[in-house]
Amino acid sequence: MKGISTFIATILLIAFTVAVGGIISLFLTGFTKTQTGTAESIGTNVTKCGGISIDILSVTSTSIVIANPSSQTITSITLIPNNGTSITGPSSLASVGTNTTTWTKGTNTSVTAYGLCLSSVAVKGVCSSGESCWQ
Amino acid sequence: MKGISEIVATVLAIALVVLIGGIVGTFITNFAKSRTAITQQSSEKMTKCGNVILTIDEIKTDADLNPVNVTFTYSIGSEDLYNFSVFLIDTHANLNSTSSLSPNYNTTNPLRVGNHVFWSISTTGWGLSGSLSHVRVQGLCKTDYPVIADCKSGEACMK
Repeated sequence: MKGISTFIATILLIAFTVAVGGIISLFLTGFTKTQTGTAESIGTNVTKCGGISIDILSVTSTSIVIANPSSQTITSITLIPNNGTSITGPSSLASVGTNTTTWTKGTNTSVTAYGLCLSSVAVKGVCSSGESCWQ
Repeated sequence: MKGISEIVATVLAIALVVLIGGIVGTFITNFAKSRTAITQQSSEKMTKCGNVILTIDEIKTDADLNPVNVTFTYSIGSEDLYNFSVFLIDTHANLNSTSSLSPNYNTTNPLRVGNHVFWSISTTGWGLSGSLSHVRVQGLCKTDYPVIADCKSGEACMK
């Protein structure tokens, strides 16, 4: 049976192996970058948001005043009193910013403010009756 | 067709495989190192900076809240701290901050564990009134990890 020469067969085999190796290598490189990129991003954000919290300055019968004494912006803020009914807070609270949200205190005895630092790290602040913020 | 001998072909094939293996190995090693370096740095920062404790010893001011005298101590930790900011909040929800502090700690002159610090902060023009409800001291550890100390009204540190 006649076929291609040994030399051409070898060249074709090497070329095929290199091509397959290249494709696998590209896939693995991209996959690794995606996987480690997420961990990188989370690690960096957790580092930059270390120790940051929302400061609930005052809770009156009609308003909740919160502050952000930090160097990062806090977003997606939700205020949850102990009766569990969540209140939408400001969408964004800038560094060194304050915000007043209206509400009705009723019989609630505490409020927790939840937000996100750098859009990914959860931060919070609490004010309960008996504390100076609870007025 | 004549060609190279079998032994030479085998040696060349082995040499080629070893060479390609070396190149690929070096690439993978460097690639893995570069991809994990930032995560490694973050972990190191959290480990080394996470146990730093700053303690506000005393906040003293007068009726018009000017100046505000802050005394604090770098109580526990091993890392240098620098680029400090102070955040002041009064009982009327006025929030201000300053990084213009004297003495000023930076990467060439950092705050080290055991050091005590006294800052007299002028609040002229800040619009503070009532009394102070919260004072926060923030420094940076390993470039961007915030280390924080708080003193709130009602606590012993708020004189």
